[in-house]
Amino acid sequence: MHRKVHQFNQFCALALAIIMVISSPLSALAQKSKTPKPVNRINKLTEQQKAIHLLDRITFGPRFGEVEQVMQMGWEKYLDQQLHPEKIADEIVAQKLQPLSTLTMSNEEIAKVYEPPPQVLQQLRERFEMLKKNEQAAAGASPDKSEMNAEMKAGDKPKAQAGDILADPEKRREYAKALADLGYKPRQIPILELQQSKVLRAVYSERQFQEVMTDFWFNHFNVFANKGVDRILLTSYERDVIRPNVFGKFEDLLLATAKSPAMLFYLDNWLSASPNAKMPDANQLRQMRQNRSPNAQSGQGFGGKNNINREMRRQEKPGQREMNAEPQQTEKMQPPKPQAKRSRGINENYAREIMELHTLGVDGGYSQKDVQEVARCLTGWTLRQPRNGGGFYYAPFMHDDGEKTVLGNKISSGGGMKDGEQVIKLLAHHPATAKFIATKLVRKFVADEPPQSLIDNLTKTFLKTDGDLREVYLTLFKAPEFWSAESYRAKIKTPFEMTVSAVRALGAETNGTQPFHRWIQQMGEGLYLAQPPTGYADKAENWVNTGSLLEHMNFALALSSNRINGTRTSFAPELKSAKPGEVADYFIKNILHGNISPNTRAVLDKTLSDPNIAGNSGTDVAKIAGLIIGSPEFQRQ
Amino acid sequence: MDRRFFLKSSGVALASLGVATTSPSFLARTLAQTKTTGRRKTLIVIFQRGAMDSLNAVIPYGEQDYYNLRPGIAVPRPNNDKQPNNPAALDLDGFFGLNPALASFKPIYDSGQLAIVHAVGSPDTTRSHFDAQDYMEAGTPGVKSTTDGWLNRYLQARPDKTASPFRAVAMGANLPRTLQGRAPSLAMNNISEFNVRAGGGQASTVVQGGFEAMYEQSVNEALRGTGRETFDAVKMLKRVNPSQYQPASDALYPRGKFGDSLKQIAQLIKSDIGLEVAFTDIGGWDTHANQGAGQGQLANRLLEFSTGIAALHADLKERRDDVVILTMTEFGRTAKENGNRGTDHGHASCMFLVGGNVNGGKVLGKWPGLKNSQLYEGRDLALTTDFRDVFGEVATRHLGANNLSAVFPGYQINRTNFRGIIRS
Repeated sequence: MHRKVHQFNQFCALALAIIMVISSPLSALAQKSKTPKPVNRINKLTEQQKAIHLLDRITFGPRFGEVEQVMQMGWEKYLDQQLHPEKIADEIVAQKLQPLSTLTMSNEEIAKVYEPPPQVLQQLRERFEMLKKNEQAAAGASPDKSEMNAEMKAGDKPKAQAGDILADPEKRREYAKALADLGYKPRQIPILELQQSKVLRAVYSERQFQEVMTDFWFNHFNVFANKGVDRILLTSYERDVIRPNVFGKFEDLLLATAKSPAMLFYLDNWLSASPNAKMPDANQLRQMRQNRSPNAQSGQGFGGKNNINREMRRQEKPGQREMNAEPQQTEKMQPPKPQAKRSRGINENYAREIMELHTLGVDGGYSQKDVQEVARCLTGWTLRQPRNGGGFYYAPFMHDDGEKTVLGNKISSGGGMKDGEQVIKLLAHHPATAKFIATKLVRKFVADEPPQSLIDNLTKTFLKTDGDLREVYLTLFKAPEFWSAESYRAKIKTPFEMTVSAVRALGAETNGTQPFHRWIQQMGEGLYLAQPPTGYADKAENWVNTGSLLEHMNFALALSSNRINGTRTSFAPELKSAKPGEVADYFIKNILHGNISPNTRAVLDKTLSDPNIAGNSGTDVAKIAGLIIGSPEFQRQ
Repeated sequence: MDRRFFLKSSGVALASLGVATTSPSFLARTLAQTKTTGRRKTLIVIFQRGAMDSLNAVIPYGEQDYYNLRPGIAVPRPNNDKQPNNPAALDLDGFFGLNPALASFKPIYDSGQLAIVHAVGSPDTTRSHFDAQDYMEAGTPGVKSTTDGWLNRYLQARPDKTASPFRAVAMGANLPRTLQGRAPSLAMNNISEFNVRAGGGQASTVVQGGFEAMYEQSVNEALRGTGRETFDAVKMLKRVNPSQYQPASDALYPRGKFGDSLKQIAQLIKSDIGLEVAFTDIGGWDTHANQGAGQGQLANRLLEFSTGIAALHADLKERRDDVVILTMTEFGRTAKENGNRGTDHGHASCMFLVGGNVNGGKVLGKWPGLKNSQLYEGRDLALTTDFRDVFGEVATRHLGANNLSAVFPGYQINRTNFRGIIRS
């Protein structure tokens, strides 16, 4: 009896030291295994489940120990805090973001450092071509050696395209160095820092719901980082356009995106002009110069007469240097293209997507004619020199000022810039928009197949409150459908949610750099890298598949075994001397909050008893953590 | 309550429970059942996402209207050397010409193994990328409620209990719409990384076993089913080791994701792993501005696209009769160039078919013409071939399917509509 007690005490000490729980997880498990009901069949959520559910949905996953904290303060209070992020101090993440200098820079400032003007690139190219010619001439002096090299190379790989002086990696390095000598930093840095900041905010920010919604609305108003100069415009887009508006009125958010350089560039509206557009004459130019915004002065914009002319010429044939779908390949070093006849016209791209994807939805009842009319209304909503980080401006000379009819509403002629604003007002308050946004939100926060009753409820709030997003969220989180047992753990985490929630659950530290981001990319949803304007799909069937699932498991193992550079997981040292089954139960308790079926727990035992896990030199804690993070239970939320 | 006793006894109970619940399903299925031996017919589907401008890919240079509609972006007629910076089309049949960036298609066309169907696409009127891709992949234009893709329904229609897990493979992180559905399909980034990596051989096997057992128990159907497919595939891939098949010396795949995907599809085919349907895609076709002509933005895409397919064709030299490569894009683009020397969303486009049994060397389909009255809604190339008839012909004559009614619900596949793409 004495011995028994002693052993029992040892077990208790271990349990207290590492498990920090009152009841043994094993006893709970054993009780459940006697009554083989699946754990998810519950009618009403317990207080713990409520805390888990709320944290699963409105944050990037509960941190180690956070479920208990929320239970203590009550979920209502936690929700209220998260709905008012301005009242939450957020020092830690601020410190971590501080070294990322581009995050606080304006588009103009980023452009100056990271976006060399075409003339500079052209001069550099010429210099490299000269160098190459010289090298070739020099090589000609000793033909035997160079010919041999050439033959060997030809056999190795396909010949570089003629004229591509940067096909050789060494030349590319030299080129990058030459740019650095001129004071330009690599152009991919702003987007790398942005990706890093997104990971850091998701992992460390106390304003979790704000970051969840920033992610949601960015994806709703998606802009692809690799469309030309958008690579330098997304920093401000997320910071100044999306994040400040996620608790505001939908109309403000829509209007802000419509005027944002990132969106104007991504969906080509900055190029869209009336077919009858005429270049302004000297008087108009003078007037434009007088009316210029203070921002334009600081840039390389309207400085003097020559600059105006240069700008207007660029505006005339804007796409020549600015536009390209594949920046890395095509834009790098294209020789200037032959001058083509000046041509202008309507571009429907944004007009279509603003209705289909941003507001009404594809079934929202608009026609091809409406697309054309909206495009006419938005002509002249353009940009000053996007490559220089120039902002939105309305160019009257590009605008189609005739009468239009949009969704049956007449828009009188002569409205100028107001035409576009009228369209945005119309779309922002349209019942189809309310329904479309409500559906997306319910799918995001409740279930992939959203309950109609809740969609109707949110639609009503949206229309009643003039599209007040905070009110819409509140309706959602107060709804019985949100708190239903069917909704609990019914969603599967996206790659971003999965990776970040794993870091939070393990209490790991990450600097959020590329080695971490690359995993998200491997799972198919790289940050800011959704190419189509739809953004990433919002139903799990789109990302739950063999390739992605395998990466989830491999990420779990890499994370727990510290095989991701810049990310560090540390476990309590006592765990190593605990039995594998106890370690597994510890993680099940603290990471899965007991949400594992008895059967799943049972089948783990075979693996846990293997010498590779149980090990002579102690329990392989990392592999067990990897198994739990990579388990099907952790993929759910 | 004696805690120790409890621990011990529950351990025993759990152990027996574990055996009882796990043995019937995943342990019982052995890989010996899967049929992989020998050659089989394969279809490789390539989706050009973003809507390829068919009129600048396969140029109707015989139509003056083409040049009238596209003063800034037209590809010059063949043998036109008046514009040194604007390379001319490569003549195909005296009326159509290839964009010079598609030059690597020309020898395949001349050898009779590449056919083009022009003015083909979806009869639905949508000009939304999202909807049009959805319709084309679901195979049900105008019907959004379709939950699975037509390639998946093709697999469903020809059930094969002993099918290899590699019967249907998409290269990429995500399973495309067209392969979503009841029939098992794989998505993979890279065949050489398709395994559980727990650092070290034996440990990886053990951890993989742990994951496999857990996913087999998941109450979430999607996770359970996907998990099962994943582990079957991982084990088989290890055994077959397709990476041992290196490309033929004349198969020069372009650098990048597209070329890599095609190369790996060839490796899967050469390893007789049981591949029947392969899928990959290539983006960047949404050329709204400055698309160029025989050079430039569109030409760069066409170059990667065509050199990739030509490399695959060269790589599969011994197996060309088994393989058909089929390309598709969600719609075509406006016949007239827009104000930014690009083209907007249009209607019909064209498809390329490559393979030993392709009735090639021809541009198939009925040409609708480019006169204003001939254009769809006065702006786009009109449609004369429904894409389902192309899919239908390939499924019937190449893959040997008999009944396609379940593959294209609501559409009567009629052999009289077949364009003669596959030699019979």
